Amino acid sequence: MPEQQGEGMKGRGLKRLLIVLLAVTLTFSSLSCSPKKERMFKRSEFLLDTIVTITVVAGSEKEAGDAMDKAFEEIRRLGGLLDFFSPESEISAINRNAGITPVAVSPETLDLLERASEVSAGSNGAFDITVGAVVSLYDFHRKVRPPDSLIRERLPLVNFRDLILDRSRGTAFLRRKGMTVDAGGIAKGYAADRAVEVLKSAGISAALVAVAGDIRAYGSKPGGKPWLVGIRDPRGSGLDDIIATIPLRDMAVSTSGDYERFFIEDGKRIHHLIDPKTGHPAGGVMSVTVVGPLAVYTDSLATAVFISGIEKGLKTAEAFGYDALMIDASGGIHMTDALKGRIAMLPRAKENGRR
Amino acid sequence: MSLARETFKEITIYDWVLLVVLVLVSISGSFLVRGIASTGDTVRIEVGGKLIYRLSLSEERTVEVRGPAGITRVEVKGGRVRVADSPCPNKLCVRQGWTERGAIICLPNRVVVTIGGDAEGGVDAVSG
Repeated sequence: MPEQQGEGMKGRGLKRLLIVLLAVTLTFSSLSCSPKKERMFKRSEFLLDTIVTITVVAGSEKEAGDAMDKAFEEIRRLGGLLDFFSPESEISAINRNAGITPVAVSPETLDLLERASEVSAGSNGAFDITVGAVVSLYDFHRKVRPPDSLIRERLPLVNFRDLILDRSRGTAFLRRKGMTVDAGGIAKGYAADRAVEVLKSAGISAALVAVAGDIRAYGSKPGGKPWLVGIRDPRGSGLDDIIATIPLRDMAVSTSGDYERFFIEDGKRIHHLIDPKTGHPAGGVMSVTVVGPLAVYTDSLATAVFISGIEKGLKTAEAFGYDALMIDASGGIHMTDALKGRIAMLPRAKENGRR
Repeated sequence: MSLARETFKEITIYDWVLLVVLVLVSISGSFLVRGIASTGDTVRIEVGGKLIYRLSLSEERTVEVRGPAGITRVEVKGGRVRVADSPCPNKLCVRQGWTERGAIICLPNRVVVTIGGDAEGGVDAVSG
């Protein structure tokens, strides 16, 4: 009888051992199940007159490098088409032929200008793709603010409705001589979107493309965590100074602020976010962050929302199905309802009001 | 029969094999984690959330930063970092000694020393 009991115990012990061994084997095989261990690879290049950083999740350095090469190349190519200052760009060709003749452009340029027109119309001209005629009067490096008379003279040349796009012919045309299109407020976001498409077709499962502050994320980091993007403190000491963080999966985010290009004149901050209706820097807001599916919209909407001011700005973002975080001139925080709870404000944000 | 003897009697050879396997697994696990954890090459010294220094881990250097409690002295040497001196009462940061990876945090003086590759304060990118 006692022996039988012993036999029974041995049998149980064996069973127990087999089960645990099976569990251990399964755990290990699931760890090594992804054929190659997924890691993050990060690289930066200076393109579009700014720093572009791409982070990809990939199984090998080669896989990551090949995909990033293609994405950087795409951004470089777009830069060639859209550069306001290069005489060879398609944007320059459109501007040169303003009031003269429609210009045949690539599908990408046409696509970007169509979206720019959409945001110009949807924001009632707060974002205006033709604002260049006035903005070019300012020189933020040399701290030059144009006289009011010159601004008034140029204002009639700002009107997005006079940019005529013909899908079927593939042409763009500015109706009046002296008008210009400047893709500066939308090209970075568009480039981030295009880079993401290139990475996707190269087989990359997750990536983060940051064209300066215009950022597009897709997929998750290794381990399934979302990408974490910090939002710069508009009165902080630099890019490291952030006031909030937002986790992103398959989302874009852009920020526009009065700290990017500016100078102080008679105690007044003259910054680059010029109201297309007045020709003067828009007041009342320090910075705007827009969150939504495509970077081409977060980029252009950040400008539109900034210039619209707090109340109208939030409504403009919502009308496009996007979200916005706004910091007003006294440091107060405003945001669309859908953003509440998704964005984590860091403690320092409370001190902004006193600065 | 005492309870202890009862329990001991139930332990079979298979349980011993299992024990050995589990020990091996946990040892190899710790090696795996060592392999994954990054041995970054920069040292970031922040005070109250503000970046004061970004140093190379391979360069020998001693720096001092001022926090609310006073001056904290940080030493970088031979790929390692330590807080050599701190005005805080419990000196936990000093007692942590030479550190190769991770962070040394001194709460009283709000000093955070992070050793890592390109950690931008824990975020993947900054919009602004």
